[in-house]
Amino acid sequence: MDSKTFIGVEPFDVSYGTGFQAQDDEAQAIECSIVEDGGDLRIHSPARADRPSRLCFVDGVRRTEAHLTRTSPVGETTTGLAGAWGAGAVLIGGERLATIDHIETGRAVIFTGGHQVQLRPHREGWRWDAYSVDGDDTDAAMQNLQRLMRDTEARIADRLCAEGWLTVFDGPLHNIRRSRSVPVVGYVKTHHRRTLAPEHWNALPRIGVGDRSSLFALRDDLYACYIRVGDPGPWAGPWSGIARIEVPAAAGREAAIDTVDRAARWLPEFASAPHRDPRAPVNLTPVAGLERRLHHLLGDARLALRAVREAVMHLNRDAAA
Amino acid sequence: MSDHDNRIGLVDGSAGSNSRTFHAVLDGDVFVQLDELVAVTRDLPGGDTVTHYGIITELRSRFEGADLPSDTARVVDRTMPAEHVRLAEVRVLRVVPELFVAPHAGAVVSRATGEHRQVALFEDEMKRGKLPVGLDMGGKPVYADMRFVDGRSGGHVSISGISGVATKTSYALFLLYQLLETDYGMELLGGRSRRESVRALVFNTKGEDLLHIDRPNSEFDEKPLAARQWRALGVEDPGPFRSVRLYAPRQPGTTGAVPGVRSRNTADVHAYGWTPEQFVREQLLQFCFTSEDDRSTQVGFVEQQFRIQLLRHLRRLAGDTSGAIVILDEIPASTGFNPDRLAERVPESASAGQGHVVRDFADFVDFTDKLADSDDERAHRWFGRTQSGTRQAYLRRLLRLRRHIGPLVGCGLEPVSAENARMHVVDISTLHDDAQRFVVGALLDRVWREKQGTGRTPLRFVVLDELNKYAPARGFSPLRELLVDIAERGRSLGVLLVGAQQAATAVAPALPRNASLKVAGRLDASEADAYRFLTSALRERASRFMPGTMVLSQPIVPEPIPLRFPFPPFATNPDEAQVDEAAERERADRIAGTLRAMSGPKVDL
Repeated sequence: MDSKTFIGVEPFDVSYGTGFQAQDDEAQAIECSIVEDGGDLRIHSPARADRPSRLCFVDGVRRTEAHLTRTSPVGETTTGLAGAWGAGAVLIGGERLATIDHIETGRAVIFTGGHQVQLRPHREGWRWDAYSVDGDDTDAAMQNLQRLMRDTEARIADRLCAEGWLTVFDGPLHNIRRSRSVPVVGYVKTHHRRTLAPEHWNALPRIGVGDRSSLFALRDDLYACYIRVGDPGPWAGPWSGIARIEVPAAAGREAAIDTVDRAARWLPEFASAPHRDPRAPVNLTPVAGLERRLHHLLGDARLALRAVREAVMHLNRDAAA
Repeated sequence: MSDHDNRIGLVDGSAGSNSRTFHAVLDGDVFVQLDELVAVTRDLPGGDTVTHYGIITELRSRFEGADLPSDTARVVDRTMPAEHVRLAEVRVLRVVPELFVAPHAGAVVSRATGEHRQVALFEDEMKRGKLPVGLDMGGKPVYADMRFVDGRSGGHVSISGISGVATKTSYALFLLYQLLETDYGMELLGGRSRRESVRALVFNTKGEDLLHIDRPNSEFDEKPLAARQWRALGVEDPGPFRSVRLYAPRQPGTTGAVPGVRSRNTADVHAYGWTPEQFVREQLLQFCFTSEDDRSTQVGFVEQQFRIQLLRHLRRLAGDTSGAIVILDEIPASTGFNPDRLAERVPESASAGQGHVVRDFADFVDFTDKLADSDDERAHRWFGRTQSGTRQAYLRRLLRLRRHIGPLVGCGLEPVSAENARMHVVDISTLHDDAQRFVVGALLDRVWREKQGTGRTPLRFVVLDELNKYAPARGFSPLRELLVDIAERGRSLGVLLVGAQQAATAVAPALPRNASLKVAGRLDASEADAYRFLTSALRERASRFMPGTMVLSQPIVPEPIPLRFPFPPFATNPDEAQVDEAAERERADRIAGTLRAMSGPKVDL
């Protein structure tokens, strides 16, 4: 045993873990240039618009299920994790109810230090892909899990866009590597960094439900603007209910204005109610439903942890033999 | 069951199934209703298979993903994703082979059709014959095991439900029709000659409704569904009951033997009653005292004394053939006290001067009245050593009965016979409660006495509505004891009671308990608790049943089966009775013929 590599499952529940929150955006402020209204920030109140006839929302979830350690024969320890991710779409089209479809889920064991550890599939159906990241930072393993989820989301979004669905992607569009000219709207509900000059930025809370801000160029391939999807109530802060929507720049500025004008009017239909969702109103109702289903489909976290333990035990036994 | 065309869904794996009940998650486009039969087959480790047969007892529909009532609007508005799921609750009827296991989560649930349906309803176990007792909700026949109908393994039918909508009497007649009028009924009863010896005694308690069952139902042709339903039961040409004799009490206030009927020709109906001799020899006095308070006092004791003394003092009136009797003033000291032996003996004749002549019920009362006034040794013999208060109480009751029972006792009357027809319908609807109990008691007692010692066949069916009146849940009366006795021992003696009541709780518990077939129509919601043979869901449902929908419980099928029965081809009330033109013509011809015969040959002058 001493001369073998040993994999350990940390006894602490994952919820006692690092408290890591993967951030998609860098924290530094940037100042994007406004591309309409003569470069000044204005609040537009677009005309009423119906929701698109073929509309879908794409989102994903991920979950760390076990913290792992790898101890080399010489006693060197690196960390890793076992986790799961899933992504899917809510399709709203025709006369059917909003349905959840295109579900994809996966499980992975991700180790730092460039080590790949392959666990054997468990008899009850649990199976893990093996990945490795460089360095010894557990957060890097988590970033990798996030990446796996984002890749799956992007793949689903690409597919749906190609089928002609207007796709609302829950998150910044830069995660979608292709699909630059397709009907897709990125929906960003957290504002970790300032994207406009301070005087413009500070004016944004004046946006009402159904309004939008002037369009600005976010990087060179995206246009973006701010909207308010719902009235958060008199008790909420000024930024509650505000979301940023992003559209590809490749279709041109006029097309982008048309898309955001409409989206500013129909997206509030999907705002969540405060009693339904702790992230209301910006967490959209279809997305909340999708996330709930995805979490459900990832399976019971306690059973997942049990499966990891058993698989690790088998791996160590095989290694010892 | 590999028939995937019949697939309706899968055994729900999110909620546990067990050996008695499970849920089926229905496929999207499947349409199923309550009471449909389903089957689930699974392979056993040894290579054998086990099939669960069940009946759908409830259906549910919901949005999966919506957990607040207000989510419904979001789902319909298509802002919230959700899936419409439908569940069918299934109660297991049977497991083949008999293994106590639960159906597998995720196993395919199929409709049980054809052979599977027969197995689900235990028809393969009904090896000694099966009687169609109705149609399931899909219009297919449901059978009862004949062994539990004809007394071999069980007997008696108990029908419960609210008057007017529960169609209790109609269902009782439907069952009799199956047995007495259909070809398969004849087969089940053992062939034509055996069936000819079967008798059904039907008491008519409402209007003159059942005095028309020998006539076609004029509304039958307006109901095309009914003909289809009868065909499904195997009856191609349903019609009226063909072998019926009708009885009604004689017209009130008359002394003759003309039946008191309004909706039928008096020639079609026989007046019934008992002669004084029959009254004494059949010991019918006991059935005069059947109301609640009669047995809690000494009155019952006096009645017993009187009954025996009447037998001891009984003589036929010399020269009379109409049933008049003489109650002797003095009898030989050697006269015995055994009532049965006394009753068997044909009485000798005596002249009117030897005692008190009795020609009707009033004469009995007069006799008792005179006796009650005296305080000599003779009065003691009749009344026993009772106080004068008791004698007066006895007399008071007798006086009260004079009006009610009087028309039923008299010279020249004939009792209901069991001859000449299979069905004997006795109208008691116009009688007072006391008289109704008297008639029911007297007739049942005779049927019961006749069947002692003859064995099970020939069968005697007795249809009696408002059982609670004759065998109430509490108290004591000779009629109640007789009915309890029939309920407990009747099946082996071939006396089979088809009893109906509004509420089973109001009837002596032995009656519904001993009934093999328990049937309920529309139930009173407040009473529904009493019907333990129904599941709580079915009890609740039964409180909303429409006329013609019943639920049947029988011994070999563990779950009650809801069923319908077709509209009757025979009239069940005067309005439905179709005028039988051929019979009318025949009657007119007969009368004309008689008149011609009376007028003698035409003589040419």
